[in-house]
Amino acid sequence: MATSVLLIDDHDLIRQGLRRAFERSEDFTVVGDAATLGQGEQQVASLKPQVVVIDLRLPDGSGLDLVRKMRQHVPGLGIVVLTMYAGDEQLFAALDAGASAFVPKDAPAEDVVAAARHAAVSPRSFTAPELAEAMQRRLKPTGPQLSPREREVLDLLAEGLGVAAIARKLYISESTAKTHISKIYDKLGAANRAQAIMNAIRAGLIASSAPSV
Amino acid sequence: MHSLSTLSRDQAAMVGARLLAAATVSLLAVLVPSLASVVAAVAVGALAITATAVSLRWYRRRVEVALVESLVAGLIIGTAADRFPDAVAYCLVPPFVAALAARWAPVGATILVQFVFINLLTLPGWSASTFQDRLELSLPWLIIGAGVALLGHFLPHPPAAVALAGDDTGYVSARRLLAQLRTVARRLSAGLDPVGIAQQMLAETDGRVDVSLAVVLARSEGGSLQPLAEQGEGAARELTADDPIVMDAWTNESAVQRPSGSAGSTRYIRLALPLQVGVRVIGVLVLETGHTLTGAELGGLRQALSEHCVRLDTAMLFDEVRSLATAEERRRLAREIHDGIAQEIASLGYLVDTMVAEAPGGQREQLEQLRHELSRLTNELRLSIFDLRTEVSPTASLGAVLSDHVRLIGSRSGMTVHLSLAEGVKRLPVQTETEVLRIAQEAITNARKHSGARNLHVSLAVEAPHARLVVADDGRGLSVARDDSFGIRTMRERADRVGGTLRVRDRVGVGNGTEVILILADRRQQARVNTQRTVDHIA
Repeated sequence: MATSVLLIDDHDLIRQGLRRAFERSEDFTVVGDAATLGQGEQQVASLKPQVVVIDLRLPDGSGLDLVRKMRQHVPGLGIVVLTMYAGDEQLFAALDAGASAFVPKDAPAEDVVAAARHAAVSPRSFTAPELAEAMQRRLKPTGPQLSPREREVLDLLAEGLGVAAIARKLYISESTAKTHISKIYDKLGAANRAQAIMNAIRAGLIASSAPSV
Repeated sequence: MHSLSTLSRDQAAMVGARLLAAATVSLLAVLVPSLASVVAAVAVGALAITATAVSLRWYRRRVEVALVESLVAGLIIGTAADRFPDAVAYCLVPPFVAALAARWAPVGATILVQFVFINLLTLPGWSASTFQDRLELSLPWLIIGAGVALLGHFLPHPPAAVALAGDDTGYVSARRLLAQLRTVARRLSAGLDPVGIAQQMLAETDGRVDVSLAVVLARSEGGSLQPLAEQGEGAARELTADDPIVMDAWTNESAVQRPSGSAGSTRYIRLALPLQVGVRVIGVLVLETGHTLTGAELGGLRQALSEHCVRLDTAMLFDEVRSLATAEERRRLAREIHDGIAQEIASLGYLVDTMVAEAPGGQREQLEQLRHELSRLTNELRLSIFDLRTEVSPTASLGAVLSDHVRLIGSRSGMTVHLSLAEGVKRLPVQTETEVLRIAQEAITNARKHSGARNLHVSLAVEAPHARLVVADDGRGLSVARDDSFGIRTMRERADRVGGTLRVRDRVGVGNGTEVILILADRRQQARVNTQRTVDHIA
């Protein structure tokens, strides 16, 4: 039996294009389409589609609100989110809202159909063409960036060493050590050692188990 | 103030009626010259001129003016009637003027007032003529007055002219202000950048006080004090808004001096001087000097800086207004592209997908090429929307926003991105951050579109008020003709606006590629400060 699909997008030509793409593949049948969140919500209730393809931005609000609602009321529904936005923020928002797939609008219609196929089979998992890159981007630190030398000095500071001891340990002059410390304080926005260490822990630069002052 | 051509039709009728009546009375007085007639004619003339001036100045009150005028005219005519009866001609004016305002009660009132005054002044003992004489004199004129009033009432009233007339002066001054704003906006980079003004303040201060370190802190959008300009190496690091004397100066609106740590044998005095415009504090000047300033020195410094304060305040306000307007326009543009052209091109893409599926083998390849091109175009528009929507905010600093932006653009374009960030906690003013971000975006876009590079190096170091941005690629350099010269001009304008220096050049010593370097620094670097001192207070 063919999988039933509902299309929600405010642009007629987009809906028509997608409808034809779904009709080309044997295993789908488009049961309806809607141009607004309001219409979409009604049709989800009355037509009970297995998969919904929905745009992120609609005239009467954010598509994500409806995604959240649908996920809550129909846990097994496949939800494909379409977007023209390029930022990662939208991708993660779709993931958080409970979407099954996320497809940018520059991708060919076949990609949307493929995403719908995935969504119908495993609605509670999430797929997106750029998911891996986006995850990588998100994991990279955006906090203060310390040079390797500054990291060393920070570690020694966290161990409770004084300026003279740090200088001896790293074979540098005391004034150089002070300059490093000054830079570290500045980058961490700290006025003293305790603050610097607290901020460094918060920023994930040192482990909180490290002995502190 | 009013030339005749700027008068509305009603105003012209009013002025004309008064002057004509006054002229007629004067002419009649010349025909029968006597002391009484000349005095009466002069009085009528004075009345006509005063009434005209007053009702043009307060046009909305012209009916009240006509009422007072009728009272005075009645008095003059009544007094002069025995020896110069022709003065009665002026009694036509007040009802006519009242009628121009298109209400009947005032017209009746003016006629009644004049009737009463002209005829009452015949009471026995007051005048030689009898009540009946006066009645014969005044009644026909007053009846004619009523007729003239009818004419005035039915004079066509162009509605627009009536509505505008009262507010003319408002429009004139509004226009003058807008014209000034336009001039200011055009010369923006020349006179109204806050950083430049702050630097002038430091130069002014340096001319009066022997300063070793100085910094101008100004209130930013988030409400915190950020350094705008500094003098002396590391001044902004040393003299921060966290110093209690800054808070004291800010809240008490008075200068605060305090000895600070000593370096060697020299004692330093730290001074925080609130920068005020009227009663508002817009920032604080913090400096270190060798001696305590006397009251006279402080007074002189305040005086010298007061004019700069007004300019700084204006510049910051103007900056804020301009960036608000620009930000709103960018958001609007992003929405417009998103909802319009981008969707249309995407739907064309879907259409081509259908054609590809149905096309016979020979055409398929070409259609696939077309599809590829449409996808590229849509992606380009998506990146433009992303570019337009990227902005710094009180919670997202330049470094944070730039790193997100660079990573996304980098991975979308196939370039390998090398990012290096060193951002202190003290931020640049939001407007400056915005300009630096836009320069970086432009440089990155140019590298992506025009250079054909594999690697993109972006590095940003911020130590407010200084900053250094480098965007470098390893593509073809500037020697090859590229159509991004417009972009470079825009970047240069932006750099000027925040007092920065922009260099766009081929990279030297690393093979090939282009680099864009933006430096925000004091143009007059002074190295009088002992760096040792900076480090001392840490230990």
